[in-house]
Amino acid sequence: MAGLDVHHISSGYGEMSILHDVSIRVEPGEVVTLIGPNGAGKSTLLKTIFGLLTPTEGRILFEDADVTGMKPPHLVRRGMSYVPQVDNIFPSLTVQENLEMGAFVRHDGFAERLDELYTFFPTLRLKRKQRVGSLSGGERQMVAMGRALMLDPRLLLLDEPSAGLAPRLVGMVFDKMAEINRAGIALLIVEQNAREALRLSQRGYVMAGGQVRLEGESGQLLQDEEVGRLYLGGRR
Amino acid sequence: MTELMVYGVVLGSIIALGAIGLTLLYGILRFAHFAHGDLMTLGAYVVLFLNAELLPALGVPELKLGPLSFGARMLGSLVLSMGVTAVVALVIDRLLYNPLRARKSSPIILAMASLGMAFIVRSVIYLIWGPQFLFYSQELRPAWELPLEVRLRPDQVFILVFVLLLVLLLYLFLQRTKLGKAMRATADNPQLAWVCGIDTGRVTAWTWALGAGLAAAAGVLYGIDAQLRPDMGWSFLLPLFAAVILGGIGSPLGALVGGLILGVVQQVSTAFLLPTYKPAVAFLVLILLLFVRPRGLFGGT
Amino acid sequence: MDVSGLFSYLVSLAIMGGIYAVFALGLNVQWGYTGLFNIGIAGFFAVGAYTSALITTPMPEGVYATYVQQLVGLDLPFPLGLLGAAMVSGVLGLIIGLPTLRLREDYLAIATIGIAEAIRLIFNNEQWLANGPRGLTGLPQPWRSWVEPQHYHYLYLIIVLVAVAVVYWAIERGIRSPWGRVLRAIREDEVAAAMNGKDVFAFKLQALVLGAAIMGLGGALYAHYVRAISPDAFTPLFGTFLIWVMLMLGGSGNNKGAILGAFLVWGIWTGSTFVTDQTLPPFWAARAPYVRFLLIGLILEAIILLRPQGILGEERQVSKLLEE
Repeated sequence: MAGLDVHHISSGYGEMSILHDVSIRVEPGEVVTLIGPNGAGKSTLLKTIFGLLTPTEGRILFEDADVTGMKPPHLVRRGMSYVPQVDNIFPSLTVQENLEMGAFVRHDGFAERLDELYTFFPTLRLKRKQRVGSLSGGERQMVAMGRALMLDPRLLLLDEPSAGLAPRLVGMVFDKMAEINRAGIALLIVEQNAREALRLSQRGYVMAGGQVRLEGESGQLLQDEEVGRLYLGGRR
Repeated sequence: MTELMVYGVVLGSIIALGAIGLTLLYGILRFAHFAHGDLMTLGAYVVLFLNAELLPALGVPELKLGPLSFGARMLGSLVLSMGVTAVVALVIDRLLYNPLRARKSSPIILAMASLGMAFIVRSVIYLIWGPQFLFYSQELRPAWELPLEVRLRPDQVFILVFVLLLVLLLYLFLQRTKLGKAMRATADNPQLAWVCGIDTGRVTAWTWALGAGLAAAAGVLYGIDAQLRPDMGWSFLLPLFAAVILGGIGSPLGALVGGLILGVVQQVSTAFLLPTYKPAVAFLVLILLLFVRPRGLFGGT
Repeated sequence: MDVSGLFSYLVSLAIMGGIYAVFALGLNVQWGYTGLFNIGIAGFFAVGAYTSALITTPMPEGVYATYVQQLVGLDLPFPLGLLGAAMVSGVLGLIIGLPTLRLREDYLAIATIGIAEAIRLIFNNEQWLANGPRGLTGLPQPWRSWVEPQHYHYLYLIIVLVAVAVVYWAIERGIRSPWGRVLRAIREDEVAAAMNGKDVFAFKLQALVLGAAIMGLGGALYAHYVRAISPDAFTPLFGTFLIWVMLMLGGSGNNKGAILGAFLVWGIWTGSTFVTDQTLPPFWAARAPYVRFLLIGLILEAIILLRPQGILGEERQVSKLLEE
């Protein structure tokens, strides 16, 4: 099917095996959230999907093509994009140069795309000649997301997009992600801020110990007491 | 003293060329390239071969250039030599450093391999040309009298202008071209560069081409100003690294400034110390730096 | 070459091999066990040689004083020369280590190149120190009077082999001690060792200094064997690079490997001299040293690419405790 289809993936770092028999899917235009405790393997799953790690078992399909083990330069050309949790910008390059790097593999339509992105992130237009290293945390996260959007991806993988941001910025980030999704881009989000993320998404997976423990519609997961107690941090 | 400082700038600009290449390799390929000095030597000797043997044998005339001690043929040889040295560096990378990188070897192993390469390159030069001092030209060109009682040979003015030109071209390349920006991005964050789909193979190749080309040019310029000997590059290694660290590893601007400072300091030191102590002066600057500000002027890491 | 000539040649081979084995053992402490990249071995080598020379020779008097200058001439016995060499070299290691060990690992490498070069320049230009480029000659041979002149080199061979044995034993003991275990832990994973509360800097400094002292010892042994030293004997090739190839070939992290590598590479070096001098026409024979130069460099690259652990590889079992 079109969209992302992850079948029985096992993966890890060298000798250390982290993921065991993980299967998830993301329909086109969907927002799916991965939640769970630290060390559950959520980030590892994103990295495996995006080719930063090679799975030892299983297959990954994207838009009906087998992309298992494909590396970022190829996935980027196929409409997938990834925002890492840390080190997700080029600090000594300007905002505009960061965005330019996002469009590195395909330069046609760059000027239009850039303009679209600046409309989407007005602050960035103002600061486009500034070195990203000198920007605030929230602005840097916008650059990180903008960079990933330059090639018009159909699926965007985000690893803890709100991590380390002040509370009011967290809302801004989630608003932006909602806007991105409204443009038709599917999102696969790993988040510690589970409640907000589930509110944004249609479905969610709960991971722990390298496996998928629970899956369901976001609404159900939000109401599930067990999930609430373990992963959603009590009342909110 | 002014004269010492002016000559220090000339020497410093040669060091800067080498240091810029070295800092690019440091920042993008992330290891200490100990064979950089010997690439300078290689560049210088290749020009000797081209300008004194191959091109004359092919009937290319010298094409003297006014007050300079060499002609357009030499300039052509210089450019060719930059290309040849770049190719040699690329071959070495393909055969030696690339397999090590694929194995995720530590930067120290890469540095050790480059140390071995330094000795290999030097021994080849010794084998082909022998240990004696050689010169591009035996002509003595009179110095120009400039204001402030400064006397500069025309060759030295050429060196300053040429270095300025190369630095400018490099700046334009790094700041204005897509590949240049990709190189800067890779230096900042190699994994993110990969995530963006930047072709790290191409970036690596261009880094070597630039680094080696600049080193070759530096070697030739030194040969024009002084003389050629097989260990000339090795004796530049200390000033090169000192300049890179002074400027901040990975910063071409830092390497430029660092190189100029090192050149001036080394030259001024000859007012108090024997000229043979110049490398030791570079070493002292380095040690001082490590105590006071190891990050350097424009350094990040 | 007749039998006695051959035998003589083998003895000198063994002596130099043994001296280089001492250097390789010192490097093994720094690199093999601690991961320190010291490419200025020539500096410690030179300092050890010169220190022992200055300690064991008398100040020049009379007519000699016009030809030879030196800083001191203590005219003390050989063992004190050895001791002094090790100590001064160790202090040099301390001086180099203090600013560099807290910083990136390649800073040590660059600093050591610098120190070796600076030392060479100082000894070469400061006549008052150790007679400048002409160097010091007539260095005393220890226990000379015990044997007849033509048998002296056997005695010296024994001295060198004893030195190798003592250094080997000392390092082996040290490595198996708690101190040694921390060293290996640091080399494996510095961050983890630091988090376990180990003062990584102090341990690295100790390893650097110990290795340097051993190298100084080697320098002294060298000085009293060749009996004449000058700054150009301590080149980056002979004084540093060769020793690295020895350790890498034999197996870094392995004391037996260090010794094996030293004898092997020295054998290749002198053996190939033999071959090139006998077989090549004069023009190439003059260039022969550079061919060997090239060969040694290629050997190192081959080791790094094909068998980085060297012939013997790292010692697998360091502590009996691990076997339980």
